[in-house]
Amino acid sequence: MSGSLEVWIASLLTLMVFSFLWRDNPLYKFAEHLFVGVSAAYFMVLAFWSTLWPNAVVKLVPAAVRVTQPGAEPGAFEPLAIVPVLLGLLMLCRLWPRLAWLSRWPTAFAIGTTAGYNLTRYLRTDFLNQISTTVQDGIVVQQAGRVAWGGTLDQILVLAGTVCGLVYFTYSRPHRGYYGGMARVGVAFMMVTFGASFGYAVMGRVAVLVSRLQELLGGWLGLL
Amino acid sequence: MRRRGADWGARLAGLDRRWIYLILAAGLILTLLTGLRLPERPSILVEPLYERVENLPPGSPILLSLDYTPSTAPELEPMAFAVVRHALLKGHRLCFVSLYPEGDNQIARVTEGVIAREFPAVRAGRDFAVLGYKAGNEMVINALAQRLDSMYAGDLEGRPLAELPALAGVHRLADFALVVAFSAGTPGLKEWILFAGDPLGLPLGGGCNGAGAPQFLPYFPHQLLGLMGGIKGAAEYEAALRLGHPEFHQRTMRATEGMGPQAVAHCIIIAFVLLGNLGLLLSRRRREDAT
Repeated sequence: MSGSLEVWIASLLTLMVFSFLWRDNPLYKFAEHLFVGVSAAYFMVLAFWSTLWPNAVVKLVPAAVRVTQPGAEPGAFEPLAIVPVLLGLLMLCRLWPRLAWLSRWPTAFAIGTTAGYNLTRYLRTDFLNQISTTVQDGIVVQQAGRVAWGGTLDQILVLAGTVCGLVYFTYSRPHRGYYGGMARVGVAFMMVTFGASFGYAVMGRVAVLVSRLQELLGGWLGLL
Repeated sequence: MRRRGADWGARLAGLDRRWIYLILAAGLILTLLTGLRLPERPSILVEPLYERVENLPPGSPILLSLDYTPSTAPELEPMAFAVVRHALLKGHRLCFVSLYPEGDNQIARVTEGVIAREFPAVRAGRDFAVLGYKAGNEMVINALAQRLDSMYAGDLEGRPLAELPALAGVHRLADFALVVAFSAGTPGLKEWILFAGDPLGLPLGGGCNGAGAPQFLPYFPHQLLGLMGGIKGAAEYEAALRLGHPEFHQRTMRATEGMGPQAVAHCIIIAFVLLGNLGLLLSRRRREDAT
């Protein structure tokens, strides 16, 4: 068995959380509350030292860099850093009802810049380029000049799935006849997609479980 | 005969979920104790990424963005370990960044767990640079595309970027020969595709947790060079390493170790899905008989 206190704490907390699978109990509640408390404190400290300190304090008071990096040379004073600091302080005005309206300015700034950046990027990457990559390959030819039937079938399936999926989501025409048939094929493609997503999600959860069991059996009990 | 089938249907439908947990736990523990290993082969999703790292000239700069937290580390850390091993073996220069506040700790786990243990001659600053976490999500990527020093004055130890041999000749994202993002959500691989890979035409590979993998498949191969999806993707990269480099033949690697229990768990879950559906069918038949 491990002689490390950290390993013992981690292992016992893991078992406390696992105990919820049996039923809700005080040990699980203890682990849950401890996790919430420690996480909140951890992120608060992390946000201060990794975001507020280097992006606000150090830029306005360059010598402050030596607090976290004793050997570092202070950079130049950056007066423009006062702008995000002021916007951040305006956000705190929400705490006072009479000044709460001031918090709309930083909110509007954040929404406006994010929407502006993302609109153009999503339009190009997720819309235009996805259309071109869906239709551009067609028949896949290998270097020797022979048709790569596997790759070609992939392309046909991708194209068929995209078109049939789009037909399913087009509601301006009744889904009857061949049009309804295409919509049903679109549903079938979506079902396969949802199944694949579920399978991937299961794989992810099992990977986390296996990792904890490896820690319990190997790191704690020394059985692996 | 039909009545007996109907009873089984009711039993299966009313099975206490704790039996499922118990059987799953027993299956996984037994598999771990017996050390079941399954053969792995790199898939067409993983192979191009491996080939890119393999065929880059030695000394090429590679940017690694570790955008994950401890909760998704069991899936993403083995990928990061495998890519770092491969890149250092080929003599490439590495640069670590993160868009997650917990990223610095994840980078430290990689530098201590792989670089310090397996590559003792590799030096921070000379062979790899740790720039660490920077707040700002996709805006960070956007700024790095213009200039690296607009976001990072120096590495985590305070050394200016210009004095780091690991970043010699690297001033912006386009100067990297490859970018690999290990992503657990937002911000992550999606933002790297949107703001770096696609607009800059940058060779971009990625690793993501299992739940996120399906959303990245449409980007492959035109907008994403290669993709490691979940622990399976990590195991495939490890398999490619073992196939390509004899020094890794006998090496135990975490993702590969995890695939045996993974397969057993999937079999148990599939069996219960089938049993559940069988129970539903039998119950339905019983109701139809009753009416």
